Amino acid sequence: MTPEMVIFLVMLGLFVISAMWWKLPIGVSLILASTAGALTAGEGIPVRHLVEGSFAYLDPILIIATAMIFMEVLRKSGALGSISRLIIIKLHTKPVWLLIFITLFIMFPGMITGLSTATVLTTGALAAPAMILLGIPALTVAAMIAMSAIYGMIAPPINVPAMIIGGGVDMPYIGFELPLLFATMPLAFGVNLSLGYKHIRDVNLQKILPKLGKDHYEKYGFKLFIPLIVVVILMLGVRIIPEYFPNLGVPFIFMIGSLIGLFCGERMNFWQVSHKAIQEVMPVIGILIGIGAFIQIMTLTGVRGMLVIGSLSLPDIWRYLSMGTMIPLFGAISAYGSASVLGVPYLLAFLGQNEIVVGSALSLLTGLGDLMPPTALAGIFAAQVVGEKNYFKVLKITIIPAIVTALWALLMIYFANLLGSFL
Amino acid sequence: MLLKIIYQLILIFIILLMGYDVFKEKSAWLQLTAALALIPFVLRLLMIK
Amino acid sequence: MVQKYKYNQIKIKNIEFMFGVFTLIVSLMIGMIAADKFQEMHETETLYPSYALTEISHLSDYNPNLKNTNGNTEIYFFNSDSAGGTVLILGGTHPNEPAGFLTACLILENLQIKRGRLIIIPRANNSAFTHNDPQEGQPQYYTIEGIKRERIFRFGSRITNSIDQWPDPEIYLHYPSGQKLAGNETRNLNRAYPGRADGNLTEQMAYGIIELINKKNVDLAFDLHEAAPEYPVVNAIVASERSQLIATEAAMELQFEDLIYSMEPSPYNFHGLSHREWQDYTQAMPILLETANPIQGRLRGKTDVSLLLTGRDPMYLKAAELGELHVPYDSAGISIEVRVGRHLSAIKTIIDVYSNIYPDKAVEIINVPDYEEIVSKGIEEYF
Ligand SMILES: [Zn+2]
Repeated sequence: MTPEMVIFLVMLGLFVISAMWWKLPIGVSLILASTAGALTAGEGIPVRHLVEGSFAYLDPILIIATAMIFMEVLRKSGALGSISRLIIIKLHTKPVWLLIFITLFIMFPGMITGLSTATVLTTGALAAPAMILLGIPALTVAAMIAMSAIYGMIAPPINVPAMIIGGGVDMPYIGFELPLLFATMPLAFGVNLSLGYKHIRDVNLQKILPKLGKDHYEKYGFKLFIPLIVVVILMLGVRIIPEYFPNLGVPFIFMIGSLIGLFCGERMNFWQVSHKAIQEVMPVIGILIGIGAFIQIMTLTGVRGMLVIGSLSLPDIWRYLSMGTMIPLFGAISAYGSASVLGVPYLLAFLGQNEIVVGSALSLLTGLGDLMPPTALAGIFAAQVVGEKNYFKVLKITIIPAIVTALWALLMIYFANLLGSFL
Repeated sequence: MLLKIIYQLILIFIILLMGYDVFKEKSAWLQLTAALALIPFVLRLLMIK
Repeated sequence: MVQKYKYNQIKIKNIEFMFGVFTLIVSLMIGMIAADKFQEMHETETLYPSYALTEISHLSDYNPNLKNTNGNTEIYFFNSDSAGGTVLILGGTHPNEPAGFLTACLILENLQIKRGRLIIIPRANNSAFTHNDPQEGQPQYYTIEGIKRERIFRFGSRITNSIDQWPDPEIYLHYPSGQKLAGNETRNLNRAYPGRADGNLTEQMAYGIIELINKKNVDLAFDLHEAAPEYPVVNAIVASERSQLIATEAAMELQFEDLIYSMEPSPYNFHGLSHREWQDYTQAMPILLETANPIQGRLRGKTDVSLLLTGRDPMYLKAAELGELHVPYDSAGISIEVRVGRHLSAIKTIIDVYSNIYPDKAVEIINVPDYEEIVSKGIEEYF
């Protein structure tokens, strides 16, 4: 057994023991496992490496934290409840359109931020109560939100994994729009219609109405939605007319939205609302910090290289299988990490095929990584949004859509040149 | 430059929330998680890394 | 009963509070150890220029906005007594590519100049020398036991330090083309040309370099790099339209010395690269040189100083067997001597070819080793 293999097994072993057996938080387990890996490799306790690794997630954590604060503000102000109310009342008679609208609605923040978490926590959280009231089972709702969030993060205009993969081979992020639409839209509509349609074929509005709760819209009117509209405008503006729009960054935009939200609905204590939001995302923040350390130690000790070489050394037919499994599985650590660590070598292995189509398809595979536990950024938050504690129940429903998605991506890679001539 | 200052203010806000959370988490391990998560944020706020 | 219950509550609250303080102290200690390591990187390594040195100026002389920033960097001028052309050598565009930086340093510390003028910027992106890329697990320093003195050089990052330029936009919109790249590429000097005088720090550096090239009438400009062995453009000379001719001729001459180079034209549609924008915004002939550097590759195994200096790696050996690499690779690795040697021979040959074609713009440097020499004597001989 190579030293890298031993280190890998030590890291994996300790992680499983501490997360599953000792029931420690995932973040702490990852840090323990990284430290053990470094010790095994004879690196001592490399404090600098452990801390440095976590910096890869500083900006994503800021986005997640501020997005969560924004959502809590909208929940407290009454905007959240009013939106589900409006969706139900306006669209309950047209189930197909309702689902298509909800799908696009959920995907939207992911499309413009490239983050599945931001999607789940914003429009996902907005749509969830409405979907449940319409009669879709909560677990299915969570699955639909998780899948839509992933398609949203991969769909254009912003797709961070594709940028990471492209950056690794000096390919500018140009001309990805059509291939990415092709990679996501058919799947997004197909998956949500197949999961949701049977539950909302006939909705009885009279039965639902009493459950919709207080109508804040009547009291505050349009004002209720101002924070949301401001956030959307600020996010869209910098993408559509970047020459004339300040680049504020997603965390700042969410903070602006939150502050406006304080004055556009029910009154609230901003500090307490913000703390509640931080408390809810703290386990995920811990996971990201831990993953940062984990990847850094894997790289330092050569475990990362061993995994990459292992994936690349499979024979040609198996290469497709390994891509379809390894990239999403690596997402258990981090989808972005998977794009950089595995996505780039795979793209290099397929040089000569239409690189934009291959890169788009690879980014779709990395997106699936956001379903993989323990991190499962899309999945865990989706479960949280519908109030389900056990993420694995949601994961079970997403398995078939995920497999279909992986096959779709692999077919795109196989027919990359053919597709490239159309898209 | 202005944007950097705004982001430092956001950092301060998040750091205060996380620091407060260190004392508010119910489990000791989550307290530790919050404390460890503070490290990169404080280092960035002080412009060390 | 009630009294006792309350007392217990308070006690538990106290324990929680004490544990909170304890975890904060632990974090503080960890943070301080790490902070110490991070701050060390701000100490610039001393360079020892050869006697041919005539002047040291700074990039801030060409873009005053860089004054008192980590983006400022030294520019070393070596003027000869006889008239000729001007050559610029850029090292450290990417401080995680040590052969580029070391080649610039080696020339700077050893050269004598007979004709024309040589300008060297060893740390083109000075800010990127002050930190390392997260998740790459790379060393902060490496040591070369030079015959004159022991030398400790920094191994930095590909991009400007976040503390000098933060936050990154979600998408990097290149100025002026409007090309879109991943957000953190906004800190990549070799995506920032032609830059802006008052842009972000990286754009300011790029602008300063363009100004230098134009104000000092640089005729021939080198940008020294390394790339991962699995990357398609490696062991390459990248030339723009203007420098194509001399690059091709030099590549043929290098082939006689068994130094194989691929010729890569500067792409028209990829903006921000030194060779692309130096062609379009200056009169200089741009040349970018690449060697193969395993420690920056994604297929590498254990990441340490030995890998940095020897390029020996069992993982890359497997990758070579799998046919994943674009350079010859065997158990000997690709040592720093081989990589610096390739840069040195390529620079010397290209300058010679240039001087032959433009005799009134000739530049002649001596006392700089070539590939053969440095590989047989070792890099220690020159520091
Ligand atoms: Zn480079």
